[in-house]
Amino acid sequence: MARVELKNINKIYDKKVTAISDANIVIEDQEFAILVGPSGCGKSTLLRMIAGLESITSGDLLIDGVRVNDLAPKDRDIAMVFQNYALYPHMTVFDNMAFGLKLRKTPKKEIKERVHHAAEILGLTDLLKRRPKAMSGGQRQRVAIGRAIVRQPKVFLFDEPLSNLDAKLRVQMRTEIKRLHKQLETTIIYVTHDQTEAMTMGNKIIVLDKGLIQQIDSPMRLYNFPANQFVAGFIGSPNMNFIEGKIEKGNRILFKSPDITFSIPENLETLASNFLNQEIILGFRPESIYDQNNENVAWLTEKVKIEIDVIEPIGAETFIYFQANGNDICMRTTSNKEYYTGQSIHIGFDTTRLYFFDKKTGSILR
Amino acid sequence: MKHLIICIPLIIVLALSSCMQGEKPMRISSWVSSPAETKMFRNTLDSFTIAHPEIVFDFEPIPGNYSEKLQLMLGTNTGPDLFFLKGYLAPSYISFDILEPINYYIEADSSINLDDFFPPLLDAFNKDGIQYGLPKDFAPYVLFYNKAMFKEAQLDSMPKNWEELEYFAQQLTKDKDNDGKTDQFGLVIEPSTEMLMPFVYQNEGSFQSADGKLGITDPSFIEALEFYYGLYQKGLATIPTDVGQGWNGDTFGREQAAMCFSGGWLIPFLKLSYPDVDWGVAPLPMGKTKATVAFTTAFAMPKSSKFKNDAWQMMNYLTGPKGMKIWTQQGLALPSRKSVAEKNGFYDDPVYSVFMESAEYASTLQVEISERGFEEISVALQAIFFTGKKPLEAMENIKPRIEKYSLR
Amino acid sequence: MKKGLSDRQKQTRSGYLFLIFPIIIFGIFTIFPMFFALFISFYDWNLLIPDKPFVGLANYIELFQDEVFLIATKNTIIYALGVVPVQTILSLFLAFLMNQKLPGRGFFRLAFYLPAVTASVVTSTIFIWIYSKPGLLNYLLSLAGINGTDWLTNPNTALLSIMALNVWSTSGYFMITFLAGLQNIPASVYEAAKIDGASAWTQFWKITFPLVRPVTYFVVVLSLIGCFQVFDQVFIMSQGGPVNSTTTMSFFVYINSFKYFRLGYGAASAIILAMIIYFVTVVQKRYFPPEPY
Repeated sequence: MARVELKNINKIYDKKVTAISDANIVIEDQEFAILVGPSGCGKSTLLRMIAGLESITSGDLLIDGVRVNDLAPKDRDIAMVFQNYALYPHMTVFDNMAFGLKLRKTPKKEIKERVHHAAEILGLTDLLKRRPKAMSGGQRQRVAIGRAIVRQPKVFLFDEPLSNLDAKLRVQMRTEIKRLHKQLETTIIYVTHDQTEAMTMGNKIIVLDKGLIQQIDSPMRLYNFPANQFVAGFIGSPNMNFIEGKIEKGNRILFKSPDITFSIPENLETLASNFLNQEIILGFRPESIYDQNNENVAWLTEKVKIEIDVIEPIGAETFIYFQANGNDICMRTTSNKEYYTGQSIHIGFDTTRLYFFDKKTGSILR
Repeated sequence: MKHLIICIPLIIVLALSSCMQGEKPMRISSWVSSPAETKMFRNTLDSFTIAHPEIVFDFEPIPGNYSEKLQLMLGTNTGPDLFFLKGYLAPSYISFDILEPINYYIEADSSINLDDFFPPLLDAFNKDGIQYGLPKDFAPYVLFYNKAMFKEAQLDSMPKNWEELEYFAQQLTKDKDNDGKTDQFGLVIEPSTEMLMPFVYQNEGSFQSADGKLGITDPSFIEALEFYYGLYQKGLATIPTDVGQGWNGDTFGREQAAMCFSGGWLIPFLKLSYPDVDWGVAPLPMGKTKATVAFTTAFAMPKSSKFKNDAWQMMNYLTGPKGMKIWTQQGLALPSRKSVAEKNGFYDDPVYSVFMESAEYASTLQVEISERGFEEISVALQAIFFTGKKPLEAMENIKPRIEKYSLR
Repeated sequence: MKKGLSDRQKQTRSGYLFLIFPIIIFGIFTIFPMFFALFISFYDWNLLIPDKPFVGLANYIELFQDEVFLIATKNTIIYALGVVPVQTILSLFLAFLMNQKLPGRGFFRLAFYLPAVTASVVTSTIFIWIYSKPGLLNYLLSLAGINGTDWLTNPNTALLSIMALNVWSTSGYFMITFLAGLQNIPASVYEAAKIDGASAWTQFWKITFPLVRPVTYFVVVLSLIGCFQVFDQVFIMSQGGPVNSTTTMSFFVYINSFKYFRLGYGAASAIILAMIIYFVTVVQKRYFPPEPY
């Protein structure tokens, strides 16, 4: 069992700078938890506190119900894979992996078994006698993972392990790590700044920004039910579009903004009526915009006329960019129709995929 | 082009500065041992200028390692035209064949009276009848004693021989505060060849006989050495470093020892640094015979000098009655001419008369070995004093090495 | 029509012109004396004696029969064997300490480095007093009930005293060198070791020490060369005594060349010293190379 609990964790440097503010997270046994957020959000700090490389200013960290705040890293039964691999450059692959076990006075036979087993899993058997200098980035990363595996820890910690690899290798390694997770049946806490990585790998995602936890949820729930504008804009690529506007009452309740105005669809009337005459942020994903000329679907809002700015024909889909209220709006369409710059088309929004956010706090309005 | 523009001024400056060297006058050098001594010497030089205004010269004292610097200059033909030459180094320098013999000048000058010089001092600079310099002064070893300590120990005479020396030293060695450590020693001695030799001579031994044979393993030498070292062994004499001093002068001045062997140079030193010490001098106690060691310095000129005549004039004046009188006025060193000593009251002064009397039986430690040889003897003495090596053994060990460095 | 020099050629010429002065100076004051020394080592070359006959290997043969030279060689070897390991380990250890986040770091770095930049004449003179019979060292020892000797006139302790002084005064310099090397080791390697369960001691031996090997090599080579050349302290504090116990090879070279002016003999001893230094460095490079991996 390796359940990790963070209760009211705070990290403050020099009594002035707050890196982590009141974090509360529960990671169940064998979960693949991801800490994701932009640079400087505190995800690495949080991971290092779990590892024991940074001290915890206040709050409780529990592993399997035991408070480990004051335990040294080696006593927490964790293993960590670093961004720059942190291999011991003067030791062979075998020795790198065996180092921790040797320190614990593990019998030689067992060391050999464990190292060979891990090497097999990671495809490193032929490289055991090599030194890190003579290996590629991907191989080094696997050695770093191998070093963690032989320890048979309760919790695996990964600190942006794939950032130093090229794109193709990154994709490959992602799959490998996921496979490993299943194979080892262990708890993983993984830090990344790449939301795609987060979405594809984890089953519990913790989104952080400026030291505060924004939302903890599964990938799809994060995508479909963001808790605030930050999460909505962070998760999903291309990003969600945002425009500012006002809820006004005319004949019907309207969303009014300089370039885009439409009547609030029925399913959102009740919600919108709470915010009459208020400025709100409207969010909608690129795939929620439809070419009215093509589709005539009941669940679209009424037409809005726009002029096409930039076209990116990817092949399987086309991204159309247009301006609205001075913002760039991205629209995704799978139709084969050929568009051109300057073309005027009529678009509609999927009424079931509209999000309202509070202008001041960014929280979602429900 | 730009490079030339920079180079040309440089070349001009260099050329000019070497031209401006011009013709340098005669140079005379001394060592620098104390400001008092240098000042005294300048006074003497000034009186020479009054007597011989036509001779122009530069006085260039050499601070630091005098012997090394001098030899370096002589070896590269940039030496001074007249310089101080220590007696015990004279054989070395003479063997290098760089000193100008002065017999010619002596014979040409009828006013010179060589008999006026104390013979051993003159002989120190003479080899096979050729004279290489004239002694300007001398300083013999005498016994300095602390009057207050003698009074306290109720000693009202001077030790006359070795037994008395040992007895006196015993009486004067005290552990004043009863902490098991001696606070006052009867004697302070140095493990140096010069300070040992008076005892050797007193025991009728020698360092090197006239035919060049080393006498350092002879019974007479060893006996004297064992007596000398014995004083230290028995705790009656200390050596300066044992009490944290650099030389016996400081040890005596700080009243850590009641007696020491030293020369006239100690007097101005005590006056300046330890004026409160009530000291007196006495001749060295005698062994089988009376003997002491005298240090003498001469003026000498190099063969390569371009101002030999002028240098001779200066040498003659400075070692003549007038020059020597001025030089020895302060009693820093004693006149090497009998007449000067008589005329200026050296025989009447209670302190200086002791020195002068010692001159009668002083030896000048003339040995024909190179500087390295002297160094080796020092090493042997160190071995005796610092490692307790047996004197005979030490001397036997060192003998072949010194024979190698004999100048014969 | 005569072609002028191209820009590239002009730059090259400027380069050489700038180099000319240093090369000339280096040639005159370093290269020439080296070869001249080798040359005169085969002559009976005394500065003050005009006759300077060729004597072949006579100087070298005399050296090997010269007791003082043999003692000097022995002293120099003892000196190197004693000082180099202590100095290397001590300065590495100090650098390791200085690299941790300990309070007062800045002050200690300064304190350790200061002796290295103080003139050796000054430190030697100060230590003459410290080492004297009534000096500071003996005073401190007496507080612990130990009766000290006169460290510089006791033939058994004189060389050790000078060795200790040398370790104290140059460790700071090597400490800075090691510090630079230490800071090249990424912090994450230490963190990985911490997680693997390494104590500070294990971290030092299993990670710091191996990874800092190129610097160790550099320090050992420099330290060795420095030891073989030790002169200042001997000249000022003991003049080779007592009983030749502090006569080192470089001091022997000096005395014979510039005190006794037997330049040929001194040169021969210098040549032997140079050969020994060279030999030691070659052996070290061969058997203890600087690459850790």
